[in-house]
Amino acid sequence: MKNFRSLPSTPGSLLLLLAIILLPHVGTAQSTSQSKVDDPMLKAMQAELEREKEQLVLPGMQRPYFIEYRLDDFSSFEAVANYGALTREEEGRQRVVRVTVRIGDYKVDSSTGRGDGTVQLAPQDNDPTALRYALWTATDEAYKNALRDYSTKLAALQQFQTSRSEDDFSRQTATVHIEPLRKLDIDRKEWEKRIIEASGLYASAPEVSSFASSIQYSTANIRAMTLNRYLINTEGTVLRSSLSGYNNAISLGSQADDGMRLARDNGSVAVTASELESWPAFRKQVIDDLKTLDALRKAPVVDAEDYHGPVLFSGDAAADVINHLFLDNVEADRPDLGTTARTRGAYASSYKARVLPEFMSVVDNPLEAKFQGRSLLGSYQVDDEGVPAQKVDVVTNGRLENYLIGREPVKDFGISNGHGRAAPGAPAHSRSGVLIFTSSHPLSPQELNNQLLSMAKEQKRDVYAVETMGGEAPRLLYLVHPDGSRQLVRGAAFDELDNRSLRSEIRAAGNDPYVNDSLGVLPQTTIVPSLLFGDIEVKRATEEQQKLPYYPPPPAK
Amino acid sequence: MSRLPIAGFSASNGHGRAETGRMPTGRQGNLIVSSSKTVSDKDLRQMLIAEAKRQGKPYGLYFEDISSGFAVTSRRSPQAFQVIPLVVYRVFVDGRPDELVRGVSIVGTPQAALTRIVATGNKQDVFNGICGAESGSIPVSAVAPAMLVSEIETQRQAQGNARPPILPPPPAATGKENKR
Repeated sequence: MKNFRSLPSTPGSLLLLLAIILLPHVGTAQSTSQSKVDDPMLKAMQAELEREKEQLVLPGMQRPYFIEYRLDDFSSFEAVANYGALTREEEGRQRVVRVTVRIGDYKVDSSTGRGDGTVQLAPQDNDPTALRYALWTATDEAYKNALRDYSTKLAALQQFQTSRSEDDFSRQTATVHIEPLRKLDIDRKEWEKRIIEASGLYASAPEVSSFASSIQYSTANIRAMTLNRYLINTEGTVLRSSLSGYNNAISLGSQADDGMRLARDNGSVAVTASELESWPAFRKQVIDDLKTLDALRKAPVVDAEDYHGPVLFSGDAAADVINHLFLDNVEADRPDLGTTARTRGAYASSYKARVLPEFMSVVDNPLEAKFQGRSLLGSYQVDDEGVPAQKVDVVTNGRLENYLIGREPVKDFGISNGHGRAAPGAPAHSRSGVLIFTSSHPLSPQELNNQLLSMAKEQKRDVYAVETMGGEAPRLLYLVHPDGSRQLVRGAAFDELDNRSLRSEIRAAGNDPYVNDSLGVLPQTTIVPSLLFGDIEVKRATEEQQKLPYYPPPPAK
Repeated sequence: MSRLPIAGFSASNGHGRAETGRMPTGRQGNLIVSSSKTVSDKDLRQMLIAEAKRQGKPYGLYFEDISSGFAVTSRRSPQAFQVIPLVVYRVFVDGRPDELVRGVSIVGTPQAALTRIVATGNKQDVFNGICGAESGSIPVSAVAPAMLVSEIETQRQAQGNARPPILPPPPAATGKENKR
């Protein structure tokens, strides 16, 4: 039987020459890569990396100057309940290897900025041969792609008169760091019972059942995930890191009589299941959400004419604003080839410039594992490129002092500060870990509220305070009268809430840091206090109002 | 037929089938093909050789196994089908041993192909598979004997020319390593 199994003939003298040139480099890397960890996966990865590093070359072409192997072992559990009954239960486990091969040198290499590399499914059991086969095919493909990308890039660079001067890849010292493996650890039966009950509270709880017929959806879910990550590279880095995240949530929806869709979403996020909110707290949260949903249904629609003036954001609402407006812009992403910008985003040319009021400072400290006794989701020791995490002063007294960056340098930032982070199976990019906002003159909630009221009195009008956001729109928004009384309103949208308002409109910040743990693509934490803005536009959201259901819901049991 | 009537057929015959979440349409269940002109495998092979000789061809083709296939059924496109075989032999008229070939697929239009069946084998084989169409992918079965077709169109499959892996595969783990 014929099969395509032709191997390249023994490479000639060119390969030998290359091997000799590369030898010193190989030698130094090897001295650090001999880790003492007895992990079958790491051993198999190292064995294959050694082989590929020594032998992988296409005759007449360049050898890789850098190879990285990453094995992501991802486990998850999710259960969903609707209307008081379990509707889905899913358990997932997947192992993928991601191979990155770089051709060229640290100065100019084959990387494209998209995050290069090849992904392969890896064995679920610890079969070293199967893992090495996956690495073998992924490395082969990644090498061929890198060769192609390198020549494409060199050709593209010919078109530009000037190009950026910073390296394509930063030189970092090798790191050896081994963390214990994590396993999913959650009482599934107990949590299933809780979400079933939580999703049925709209009908079963006597304190809210009077308006049960207005609830259109009621969904509760519990999610759990762990990621055990193995990373080695030809520079000698050996890393085994692990993270976990747990999340319980409730999602409720209704419609006001005029057809406006209304929703409440809540829950808790934690590093371990034991740190999730207790059942009494979860139950209370659902009841509160149901009550506020009903209050929203009955609340007046926000004024039809635009409002420009003070708005007080709770820490919860402020964290959403910061995640939306600030976060991306301090995570350094390289701009397109041939352009000379520093990064992408609003703060590309804001280095050393003021981006926040002078009384505000921001640090990102992934090493901060706990805040006020609570574990933080965005915490880590070593990033996903094998660089130890660093505390970074992002903004000091309002001025942008540093970007968060991984191993792809941008202008003025030649090395990583330990913020190269990757979602499972995905390439690493510059991402925040634990971003903490502080004020040099923090005010108590009472003082903040007084300042809001004094602004209202001064301007002789009502002002606004927002408690919770739903995306970029306010969800629980209060019209605050100068006498301090409050009226819940619905159907509002913010405008002119942008980077200019972050820079110039924040008048005061609270001493009540809110911890926003996000279990999105990557676990990240943002800690933001209440913020009082001087001038934000509040306007009526002009969305189409869909008809209410023609029939009432089916009768309850 | 599903409950969606077509010209000349006003009622379902219990073949409205669908994948989860799709609207049922008329689909295959157990499609059984039988023949009134059956011969033994040995005779069928002789008939193939005789037919090739008659047409002045050096060989006939024997399709032993296929991987998949598809047919275009939309009215805007030509009604054509393609079958991608896995194991195909050249059966020579001069008595040479059969030769395994690769990279050939069957193409044509159903009407033309199905009218050129000369004879069939005397035992039926079962095909269990998944069939995809307007109402999604559903499990189906087909039962049919071998068929000798006097004329069928084939074409070369698109051939990859990607370079094979540069390095040989990693060495298999020794028994010692496995026991750890």
